[in-house]
Amino acid sequence: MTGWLFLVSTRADRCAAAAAEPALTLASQGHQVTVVALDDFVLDLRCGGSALDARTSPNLRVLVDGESLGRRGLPARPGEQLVTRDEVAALVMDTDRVVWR
Amino acid sequence: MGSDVLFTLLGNPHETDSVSTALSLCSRLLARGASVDVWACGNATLLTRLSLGATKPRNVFAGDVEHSTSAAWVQAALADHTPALTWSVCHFCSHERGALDHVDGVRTRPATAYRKVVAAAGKTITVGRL
Repeated sequence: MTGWLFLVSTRADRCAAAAAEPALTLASQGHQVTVVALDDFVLDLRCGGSALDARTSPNLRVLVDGESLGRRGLPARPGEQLVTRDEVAALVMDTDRVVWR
Repeated sequence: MGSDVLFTLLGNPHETDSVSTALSLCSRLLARGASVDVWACGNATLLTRLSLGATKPRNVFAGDVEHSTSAAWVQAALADHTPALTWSVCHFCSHERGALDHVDGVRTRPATAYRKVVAAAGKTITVGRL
């Protein structure tokens, strides 16, 4: 199955919810899906505004950009998987398909 | 020969943090040895206007700090990373907005060339919406 990387930057009141649904669908079909929360989307995860917050799938991995948290003065939450921008760049290079929302 | 990653910048670059985050990723990818093309359409063609100058207007709360404009950032990145980095602006979007003066190294290309750039790229990441 194909690997997918979703880089989700926008808050759910715009189009991030639309990005989350394809990610969940692909994961449910057996694709390996990684979602990286960037920019204002990190707020969405905190507010429970994203479908990703409530649902999990064995093929779905949700990562949080540490720089986006830091710029907003937010500490990491327990259980949250933080990534650096260098690690995000590595994911971009290593993943078959990359989607930005 | 295409790039490893093509970033297509669309829409309003200052509406959200998306463009600055995408450019931050560009830097990290270049540092890892990847080749990167950037294609700017719509209002994103304004990012590289020569008239933006070298620095942003001074912040009255931090008067001794200077921040580069997007145009200066792109010019420096192109100087440091050519040929691994290319920056193209859509001719039609650029001219429609009167953005005729771009910093050195930026190529103005017809919209029809976009198909070739996408076809040659390893991955295309589209940031923003028109």
